[in-house]
Amino acid sequence: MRIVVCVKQVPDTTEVKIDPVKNTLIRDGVPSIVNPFDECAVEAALRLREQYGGHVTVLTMGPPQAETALRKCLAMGADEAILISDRAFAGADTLATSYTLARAITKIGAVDIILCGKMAIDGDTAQVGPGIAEHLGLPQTTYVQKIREVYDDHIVVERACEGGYEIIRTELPALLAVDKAIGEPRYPSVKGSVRALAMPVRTWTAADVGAETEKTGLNGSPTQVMQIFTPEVALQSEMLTAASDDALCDLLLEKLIAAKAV
Amino acid sequence: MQAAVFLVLLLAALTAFVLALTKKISYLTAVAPENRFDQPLRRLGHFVRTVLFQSKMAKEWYGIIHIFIFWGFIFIVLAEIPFIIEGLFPAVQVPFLGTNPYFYLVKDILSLLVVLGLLIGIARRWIVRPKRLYRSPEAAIIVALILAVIITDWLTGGAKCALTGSIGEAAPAYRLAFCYQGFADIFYQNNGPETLAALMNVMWWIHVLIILGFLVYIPNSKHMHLLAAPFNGYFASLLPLGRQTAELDPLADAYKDAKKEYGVGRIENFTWKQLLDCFACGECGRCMANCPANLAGKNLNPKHFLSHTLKDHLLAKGEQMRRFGLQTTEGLSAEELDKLAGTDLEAAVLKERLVGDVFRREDLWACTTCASCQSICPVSNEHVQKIIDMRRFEVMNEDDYAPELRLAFRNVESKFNPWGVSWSERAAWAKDVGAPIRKERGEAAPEYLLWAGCAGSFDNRAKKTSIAVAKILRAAGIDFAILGREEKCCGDFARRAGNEYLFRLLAAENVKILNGYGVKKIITACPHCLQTLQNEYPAFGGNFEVTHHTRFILELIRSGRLSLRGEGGPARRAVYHDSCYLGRYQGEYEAPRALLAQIPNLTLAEMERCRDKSFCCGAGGARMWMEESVGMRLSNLRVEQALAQSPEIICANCPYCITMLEDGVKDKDGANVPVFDPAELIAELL
Amino acid sequence: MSIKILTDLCTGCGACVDRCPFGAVDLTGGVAVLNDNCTSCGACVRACPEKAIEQTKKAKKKPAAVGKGVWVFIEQRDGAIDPVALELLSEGRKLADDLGSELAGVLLGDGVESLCTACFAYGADKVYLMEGPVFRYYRTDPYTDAVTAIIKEYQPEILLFGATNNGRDFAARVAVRIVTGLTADCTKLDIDPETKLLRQTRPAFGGNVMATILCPRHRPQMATVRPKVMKMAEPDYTRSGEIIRCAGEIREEDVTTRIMDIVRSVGHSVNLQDAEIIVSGGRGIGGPENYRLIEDLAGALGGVAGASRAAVDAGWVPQYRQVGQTGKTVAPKLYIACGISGAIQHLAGMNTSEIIVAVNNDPEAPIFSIATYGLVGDLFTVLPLLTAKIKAYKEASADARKEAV
Repeated sequence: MRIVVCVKQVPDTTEVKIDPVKNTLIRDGVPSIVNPFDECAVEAALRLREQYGGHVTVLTMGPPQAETALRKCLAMGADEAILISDRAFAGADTLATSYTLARAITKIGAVDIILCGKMAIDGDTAQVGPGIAEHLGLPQTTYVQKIREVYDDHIVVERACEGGYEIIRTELPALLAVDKAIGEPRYPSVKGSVRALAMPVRTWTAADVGAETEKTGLNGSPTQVMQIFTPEVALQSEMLTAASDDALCDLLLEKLIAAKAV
Repeated sequence: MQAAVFLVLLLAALTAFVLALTKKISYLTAVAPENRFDQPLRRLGHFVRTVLFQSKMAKEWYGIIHIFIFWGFIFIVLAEIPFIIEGLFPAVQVPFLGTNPYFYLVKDILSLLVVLGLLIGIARRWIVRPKRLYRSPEAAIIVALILAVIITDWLTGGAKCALTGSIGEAAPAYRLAFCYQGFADIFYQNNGPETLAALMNVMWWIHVLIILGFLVYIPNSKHMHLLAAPFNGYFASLLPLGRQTAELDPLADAYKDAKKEYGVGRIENFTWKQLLDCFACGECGRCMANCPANLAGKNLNPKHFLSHTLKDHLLAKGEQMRRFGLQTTEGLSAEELDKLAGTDLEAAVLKERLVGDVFRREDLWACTTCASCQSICPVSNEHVQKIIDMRRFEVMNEDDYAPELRLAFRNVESKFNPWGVSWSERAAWAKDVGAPIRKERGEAAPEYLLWAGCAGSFDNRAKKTSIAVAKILRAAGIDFAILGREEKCCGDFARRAGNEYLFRLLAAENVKILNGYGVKKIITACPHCLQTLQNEYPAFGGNFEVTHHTRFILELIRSGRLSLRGEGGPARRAVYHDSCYLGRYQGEYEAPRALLAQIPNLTLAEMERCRDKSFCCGAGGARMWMEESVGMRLSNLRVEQALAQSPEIICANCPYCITMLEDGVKDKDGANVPVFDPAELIAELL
Repeated sequence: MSIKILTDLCTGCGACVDRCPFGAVDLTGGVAVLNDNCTSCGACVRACPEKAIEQTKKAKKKPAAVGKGVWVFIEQRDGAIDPVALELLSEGRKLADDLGSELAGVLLGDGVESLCTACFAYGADKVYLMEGPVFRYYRTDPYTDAVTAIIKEYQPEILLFGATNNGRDFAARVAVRIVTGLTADCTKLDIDPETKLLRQTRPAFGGNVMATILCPRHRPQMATVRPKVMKMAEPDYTRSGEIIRCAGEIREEDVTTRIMDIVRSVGHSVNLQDAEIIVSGGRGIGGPENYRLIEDLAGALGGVAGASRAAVDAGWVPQYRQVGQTGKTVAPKLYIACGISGAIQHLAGMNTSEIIVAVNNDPEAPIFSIATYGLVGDLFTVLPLLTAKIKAYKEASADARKEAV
């Protein structure tokens, strides 16, 4: 079985903070990580390989530094890593990104399963996975929480839906976008980490994957960022006080309703 | 004729002795190499101290017995030379040993003390036995043998004195040998010269037979201790405690030989010195009597680990490897070893790995690396490195260890602290107290760097200590800064847990930052950080003068830079807990106590287990990050020991200890004793 | 569009470096230089005090696509409209009014015509309806095919989806097939009065900043919006509208995906990691019998009950409920810590929760330092009160909704 996992290197958004004085993002030194949902996708791929055999390729689009993310996936146990990197890809939105990744997958050739995380934590769009499937004309299943069975020509998975899950049968090849419930990603063993440092990472350019420049990067992106601003209020610690316990509970409920938490 | 018989017997005994000994030596030369031949002068010094002067033994009254036995034994062995030669050739006089009356005086005194000591030893082992001593047949045999050697010597010597006395010749060499004389008096009164000569001859032969038997027995029993311990003293590690004697660079090793196993998973991957420890062990059990894990009811037993688990396995596997001409079993698959062993049950030992097959995994992780076993061991055995070596195998090679530890590693990799708290919050504690951040100081290098450590930066409890220290430094006008977000976990727990790969990454990054700022002097409130920065970073190019905050604050007070309010505070009875990493690892017992003495109205009580015998809180050796499910919690046990002194407050010098002790107090119904770092109490007096 | 730095005007002050959300500006040799991360968002243009950064618009290669009308995809399950669709109709109404155009719903399903009434009541002028057994359950392919066909035929200007699992699943596919932009999880939508473009505002970088996004040259402008973000308007059941039936050509045989079963979760799950609301109890609950208070509150909130290590160690609560360093790491929308002092062991497992409520009788407890809302009080009186109040509130709002539909 040939599996391609699409991953993204993202800034650890939990570490991105707002400078309270300048009201700007503090990005200095923020560690880059593999998008956590994509790590789950790599985990799912490795488990499939362990059960059914096969070959796992990790694929990412990004700047040359994104190689670090691929090395992490190699350390987890992936067989091969490909970085697609080109200045022409800069400023891509989800449409252009999914097009570029789809081109690379086409170049990789006969793929049975394409895995990706349900979304990236820096963008939270959940659009690239379905976008790739659409570009390739393949069926997709998103929010996959469990892969039940894999056959030669189809696969049975559980997909999270509101209030439960669906058991879905999809023909192969197909794209699966996985949720964290698929399984905790493995922590690379030291042997794996050391091995990964010695493995090659292939780099492809736009020309290598046969991507048309009109469809990549900013040119291929219908959406434009018009403005970026920092939200006015961050939640602050607040001690609630009231005359009685009863009033205290009312106050809390009010706050929770206002915050749409109830 | 007698000489001929003796010679044959001697040759036979020597042959048996040498064969048994060379076999054991051959097991040791077959295992991993290690250079312990450097610095002969320092080694000699250590030998003189720990072997000749028995420095570790002298610390306890019953250890004195061993000193008598040790020296008595040396004199008895020396006295064998004239004894045997004169027995065979009565005409020959061995110079000095055969003629010096003072030699015989000392020998007799020591012999008497040995007998006395053995009697006390018998009482201690068979009547009022401390748990650490085993009633083994081997122990009984050795006591009987030594007693027999001494008594037959006295009998022979006594008969000889009586004989020479009876035929009117003086025996000037025995003039002062009061034991010989005493026995001579007994014989002299009732026997004629012929009887005396015959008696002497018989006693001589009994003695010689026992001695030869002894010779054969030693290398085949636990009493290899007699031969191995002196060498072990000479070859002992000269590195500061905690510095790894078994260096391992996973990256370099991988490039050299990708198949090479990390750490020690099979006995032959220990070094010869590490295994010499097993033979040097005299089974005194001081290690187990001071092992906190053992005392808390866990299965880990450092004495049994060396003297039985490892040694028995070495003897069995070493023999089979010798038999099949194997240098190592590493790289041989289970099938290949199966084929080799065939149906031979004894050869099946070739397949055995250390952890899981001969040593319980649970025991491996019960160790807190507190080093109480190692620092008390009279024969300079090195227990902790073996534990770490085996953990390295489990963690780096087999990837088989507790999930909560995995999480801690993962957190350190992504957030640079084991809790996984947001990395960007690292300097948050320092905001209110106004501790400057090094990076923001730019070119103006401060004299000192305050290393907050992960606990001091993130743990609400330990942050109070950090704040107290910063306040004190400011009050004393010390020019200092913290690294803030540029500081990363020092890697202590990763190293003790066997993740040398992660430790090296962290050490390299921290050293790079520190050297980049040209840091020379560091103050820290965490003994674990102190240990790694001071003793272990030099191997990675980081040479700093690191001071524990208690020592630093004490010196500020003594030099008058810091003045405290002279009064105030209620009368309080405090008990002080020595952390392992400040105490045994760094040898600092005085500064925290002296600092506490500066606090008015505070009286300091000592726990029974204190200073170098302090009892671990249970958090060292990465135990902080693991669940404790077997036996009693170490922290609860330690709190009980503290509460036995009925203190009003407990003082400790390490953020881990403070956390553990507070947890222990909470677990104890009705106890409400707060735990403080000395700095917190000092800060109240500013 | 592209960004150009006029190096002779640049003073190297670094204002743009601070302002850039993508880390795309470096100071090299005393002047600002753009790197590969630049997305031409223009944040630096506004930040520059020297006006040394220009944003140039590329010459138009082709005229912007056209379209008219604001559409909302009406998601239904088992014949019931997902509330997010009604919220979007309410919001869509305002957009349509601003544009002076019509508001339409797009409804797919099997025998769902009766749902059109609600769409009209919430502001729709039209409903594009495509029915057939193939639409009975949501599946990516038939839904994508159908909606794409309707878009191609009627060409809307704006199309909104609820950011449910299904909405996100196929909105992305539709956008790629039509070749247009799609902005996910918008928290604010409005019309630029000059250009009449849809301004789509959404959180970025894990909610640390907000970004306003435009889709100037492609139609429809598509966006998804999370449930409960937009306010549902009061329905007006006197309104009516036009139902436009669309014929589908999708046959069941052509669909490569089959739903074999749908499993609804029953009862309270203990899946702490995926829970949106968690109520945890600690040492302060005093004994196993009192854990019921925690479970009751969790039940009332529709959340999951957790515990701190102290409560688990004491044997009051089973280990699988433990939150913290050695238990589960969670990040729910709402975390209520009851009788938990807040040792770092615990905080490490939950400090990324969106809203943290702490109930503790010790005002000095460290948990308060990270709590969004802190209540100093006795949990034995506070929790039952809170549980009762939440139940009452939920019943009241359920009744209100029932009346509405």
